[in-house]
Amino acid sequence: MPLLDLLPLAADIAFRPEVLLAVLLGVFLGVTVGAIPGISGDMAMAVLLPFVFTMDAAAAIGMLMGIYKGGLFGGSISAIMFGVPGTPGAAATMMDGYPAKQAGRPNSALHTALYSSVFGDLAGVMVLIFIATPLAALALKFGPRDFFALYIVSIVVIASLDKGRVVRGFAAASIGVMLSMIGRDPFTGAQRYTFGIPELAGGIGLVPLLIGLFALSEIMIQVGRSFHARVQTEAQRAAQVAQDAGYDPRKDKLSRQEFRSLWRAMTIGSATGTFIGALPGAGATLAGFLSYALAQRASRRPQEFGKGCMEGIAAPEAGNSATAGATLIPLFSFGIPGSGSAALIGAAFIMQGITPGPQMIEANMPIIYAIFILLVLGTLMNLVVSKALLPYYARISLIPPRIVLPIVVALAVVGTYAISNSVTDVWMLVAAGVFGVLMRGFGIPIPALALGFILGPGFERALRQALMLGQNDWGYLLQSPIALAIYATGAGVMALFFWATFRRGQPDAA
Amino acid sequence: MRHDLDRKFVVGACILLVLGVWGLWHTYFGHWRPGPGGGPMAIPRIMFLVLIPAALLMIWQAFRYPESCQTETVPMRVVGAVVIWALLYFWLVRNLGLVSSTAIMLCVAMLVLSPRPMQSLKLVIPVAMLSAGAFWVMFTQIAPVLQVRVWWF
Amino acid sequence: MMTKKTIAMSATIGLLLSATAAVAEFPSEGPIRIVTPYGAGGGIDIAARILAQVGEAHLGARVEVVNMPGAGGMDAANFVRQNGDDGYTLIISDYGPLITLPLLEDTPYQPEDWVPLTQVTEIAPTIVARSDAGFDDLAGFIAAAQANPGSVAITHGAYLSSSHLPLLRLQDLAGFATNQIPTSGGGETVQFLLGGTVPVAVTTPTTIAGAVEAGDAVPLAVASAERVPSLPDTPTLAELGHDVVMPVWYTIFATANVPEDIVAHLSDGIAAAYASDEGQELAARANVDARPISRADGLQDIYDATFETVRETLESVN
Repeated sequence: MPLLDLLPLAADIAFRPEVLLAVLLGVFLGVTVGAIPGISGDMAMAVLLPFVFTMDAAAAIGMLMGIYKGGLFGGSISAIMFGVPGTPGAAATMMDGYPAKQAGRPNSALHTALYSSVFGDLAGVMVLIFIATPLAALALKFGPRDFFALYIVSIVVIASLDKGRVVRGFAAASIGVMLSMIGRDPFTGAQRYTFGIPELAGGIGLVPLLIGLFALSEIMIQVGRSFHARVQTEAQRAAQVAQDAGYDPRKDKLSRQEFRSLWRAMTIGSATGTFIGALPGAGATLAGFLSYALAQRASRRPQEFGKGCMEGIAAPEAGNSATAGATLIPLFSFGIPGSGSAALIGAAFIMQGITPGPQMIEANMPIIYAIFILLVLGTLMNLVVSKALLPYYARISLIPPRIVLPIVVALAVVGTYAISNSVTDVWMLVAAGVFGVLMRGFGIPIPALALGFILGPGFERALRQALMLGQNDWGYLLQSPIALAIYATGAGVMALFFWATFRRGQPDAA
Repeated sequence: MRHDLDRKFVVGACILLVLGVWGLWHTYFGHWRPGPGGGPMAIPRIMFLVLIPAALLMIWQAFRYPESCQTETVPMRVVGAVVIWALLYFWLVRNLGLVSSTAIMLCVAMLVLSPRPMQSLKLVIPVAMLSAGAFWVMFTQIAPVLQVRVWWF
Repeated sequence: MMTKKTIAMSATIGLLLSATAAVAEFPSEGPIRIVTPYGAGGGIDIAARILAQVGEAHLGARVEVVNMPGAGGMDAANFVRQNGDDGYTLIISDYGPLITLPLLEDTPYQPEDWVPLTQVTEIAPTIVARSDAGFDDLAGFIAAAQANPGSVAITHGAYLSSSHLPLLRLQDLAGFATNQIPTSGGGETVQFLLGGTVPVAVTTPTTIAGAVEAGDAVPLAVASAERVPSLPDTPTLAELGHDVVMPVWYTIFATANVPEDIVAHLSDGIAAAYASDEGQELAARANVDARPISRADGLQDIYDATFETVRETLESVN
């Protein structure tokens, strides 16, 4: 059917009040639950799945996608305001988002996050609509050895993120991978590194580890400071109060010029996120971290990263949001759900009697195009809804730490428990918090450890599948053009980075 | 500014080194169920082979570049207090109910952190109640995922 | 302490998310929870959510679905063991967490600690080849595998999962060996099959439906007693002379301590809910082949038979 005949049909399906309302509600819910640590967009989508039965296809998928998009941005709100990543995908956004908030720029940080989220999301959706097929064909060609190459290059690039701490980065990454090995060996079911503790057999949960390492450890250090304030003298206290009240909403604006300087970071993030999103199994968290690392390499001011610079927010946020549209690419092209969220969307399609796969687009043209329209509309709704709410979120900065810190700890505890009602998860959270404090004390980069942990299982699966396919020949790992291309790209990025550092005359303390 | 060798940093790196050597030894001589594709010890072995040189380099750096290898003092007593508060709060949530224990524990924590507890009561109590209400909305109404009692009884 | 606006908002959202409860007789203490040992959006989850939609009229209580993934299903099973003796907390599961896991290691529960209430549906593990793999029937695949033992690569879900066990049993009975590559699940299985990494895979009819329709993959055989409605031309393994009947059932269980009259009430009520017009309509839309089997229809025998087959297969491996 030619596009011109199709569009009015699709528009008829999309532009109905109840459909638009469903999408709007989805976005609103997504932003809200995304900001709650422990409750991800996936969970909200799962809770709403039953309603999908009774809705029509466009409204149902539009609403679920709205939650997904909203959730990706919502996670960054708590990442920036509290240093607690609301969803794992927001962990990378936090690396500069939280320092920016502490530096008195929460409003700018939130706006940067929102604009880059919308930008990345639109990029992912456009790729889904216009060039899904070739990208999906490339993604389908990825075998175990290619995933192995992707994971190892990602780990290396992110372990060397922190200049001057590269060695500690590698130590952290290897510890992270080791932590992900705890539990059951996926290939034999045998227990590893559980030391006879039954609770460890299920492995360490991702969300408890992330919230503990990133958030709880930071809070512990801040409580130390805040408690210090309680026992100090009257004069010191007055200074502290002045500092706490130092946030001035009027000074905290994102200037047009500053926004323009973010294009490069946003483009890098969107491209990385779209590609990673289209790969089954890689996910929003990897997209965020990898975008951050690549944007830092490409930035004119790489030394600002980690100190609250807007580029360091724009890149990972564009990156993790770009996965929203892109994760549907393997689903639409081959019926392969590439992520948990894609599996839920796939389930919703199945509930509507549409089997995801190569024929679904042709067989259901008007509905699919209506969904495309709603994907774009959902992004714009996210922009409007969030833009209206941001000033209120930013005011959280006005509340003194002694009030906010206990709430955040309580939120982390209950949120972690809510993931799967597991007591073990809460123990993990607390242990990870203490471990995070120690890591901070030794200057060991936490993102490297987190990424090692996230990629560990996929890394192991890819390596062992490849070794099995190659009959235990390690050379098999290199006999793939895709893997070689990934290694070459990784080597190129690293070389560029070290060359640039060298030329600037900043000898790397390694 | 001159920096001396930070002993704590060296000790930390040594612990990593011991962990790495033990782990590597364990992947060769530990008790492993044999498995396909290099076995369950394949990735751990690679990771320990990364960890050992990293730990050695850290020790070398501590002597060569002491200025970039300083540890920060960690207020262990405060960390312990937060841990105890978090676990106590969690225990209460499971035994008393979500809303009541959130309100109580938030009050306690906010008052402890306040410079003048008695004068902060006016602010702390409503904020704690409001937060408990927000928790109720978030975890039992928006996303009914939490399997705990909500109220006192 | 909340503002009116907040209350109104939360009430609206609350209404949206949870249907109001109307309660009578046995289920007089609030909703019936159905715990799934897997994440949301999978086949079991969808099957459970159909009941959440239609169950109230037949059971007398609202039905809630709780996803409790973790520890290979042990978390969910333990939760139901600890909270389910009153019949208000049930588990919907395949045989993996309840039969395979206890047979493989020390679990706090045994297969006989569960009472099957109603079987919702049955999924046939399907052996499927890429269309350019060089064999278009099972005999061709077995011949190729026998010619070069251990060299034909084949993917399935997790190790010793319900897509792996039928393959192991077939290999044991037909006498051939393959290079079995475990994956993280259906998505990765199809990825490796269609991407050219492996020529053959074991997965479910739904997972592979799109690729079969497009002609990219050819189903070779299904491991159920009868042919699958969605793949009418694909023979069963039994038809081809291999005694491998290992369908994956999705069955709702109560713990063994639930009183008998409540078990009967639940068993019949759940079966009636799935058999109702509304239940069948939802199931058809969701591509779930809902053919409920209650205790009165002999569900206990099916459960016991599955236990025997799984035990034999696992013994043949070790």
